[in-house]
Amino acid sequence: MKHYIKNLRKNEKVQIIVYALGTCIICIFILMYLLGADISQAPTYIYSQF
Amino acid sequence: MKKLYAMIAGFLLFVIVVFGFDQYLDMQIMNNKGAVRNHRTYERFWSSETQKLVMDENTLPIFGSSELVSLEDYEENISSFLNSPDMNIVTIGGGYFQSLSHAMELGAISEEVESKKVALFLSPQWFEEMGVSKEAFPGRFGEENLLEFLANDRISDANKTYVLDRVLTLLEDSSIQRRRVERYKKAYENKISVDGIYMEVMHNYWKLRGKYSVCRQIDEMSQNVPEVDLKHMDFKEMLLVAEKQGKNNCTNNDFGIYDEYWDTYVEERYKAGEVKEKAEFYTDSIEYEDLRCFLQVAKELGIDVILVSIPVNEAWYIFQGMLCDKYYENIKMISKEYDNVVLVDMTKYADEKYFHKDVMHLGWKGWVRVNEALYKEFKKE
Repeated sequence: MKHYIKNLRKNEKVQIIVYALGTCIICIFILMYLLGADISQAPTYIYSQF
Repeated sequence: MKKLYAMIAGFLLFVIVVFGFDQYLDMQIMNNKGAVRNHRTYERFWSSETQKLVMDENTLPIFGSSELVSLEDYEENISSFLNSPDMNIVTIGGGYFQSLSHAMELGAISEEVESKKVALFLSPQWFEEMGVSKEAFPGRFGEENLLEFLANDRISDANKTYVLDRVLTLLEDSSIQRRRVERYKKAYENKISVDGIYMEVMHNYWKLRGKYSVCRQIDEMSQNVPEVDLKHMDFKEMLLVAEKQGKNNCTNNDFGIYDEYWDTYVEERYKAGEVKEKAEFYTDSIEYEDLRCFLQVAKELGIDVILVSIPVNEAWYIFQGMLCDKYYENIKMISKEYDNVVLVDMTKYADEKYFHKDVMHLGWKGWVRVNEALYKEFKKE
């Protein structure tokens, strides 16, 4: 693995880092959306009553 | 190929970030333990992970419904507080949270109940013929609790199947939730399957979401939760204070109902006159089976249940022609079926003025009496 990384050209390394970070950031955005979204979809008409 | 490696590395990085985020949420909740424990919102009730984080060896989880929600101002109503160095509470439930929801949550949090005691406040209104209504249940249903409940190896298959079937019946009118629960059921029956992976992913998602939702509310939480000394509390003196508070709040009727409630909900019906034909209510209900399920789950988990039988405001109910004696008897009989159940029978106070604050909810004297009984039962070896 070390050897493989060493043999990569500089722009290839940059490309891999960009892809990795991009994937990570997209996943974070999806997660943050899902954490805030109303995915339960429960009927809410009695929700407000305690 | 390089792109694929990069994406895998990105995903691994994402997993590390999520792990760190999860730890951060845990820390936030732990640092605000008291405030979170006393914060009463559905989001906290649904998050069993949060309940686990805020409980300690002196915590008594109290399962109930609408009587638990109004956290009265300490100065206004001292009797509703149970926060002492040797005992504190975490309340779980609001209106329409009934035995079935509580059975799931108990199964979800039981491992962290160090005291091995919980209290369940029973309201007669739960025991309508159909039990918890199909209209209300979807809005009270916490999926994290169900998934934690199903993951608990100490609960029998019979109880898990009963809960799953009841939940599916109650979600008939909520198709999206129902479809997910159907998949959980398939995964429960066959863990090594696509549905098994789905359930695992959803389980972790609900856990993270639950803690995240609670943490978003931390800023609104009251950080200064007053502490009382229950060990040396003079409950007789407290009853006198409660009597005074009751008198001050109930000035326009003889039923011990606070003025605003009387004006809004009761006066019209009072003017219609007393109902002469009396009948027993809450005698047959599927809720009795849900209650038995809760008590059985507790037994399987080695948890003692302090079952608090809360009466209705008898003066008003008799005026309305509604009798509850048979219901009270049913609860007594059920409590005798289980050796892990202690019945705190409050029905003898059904006709005590200011025991209730309205037609059904605990009031000034009611809270004093219940708090005293809970403290004694909690401290009993």
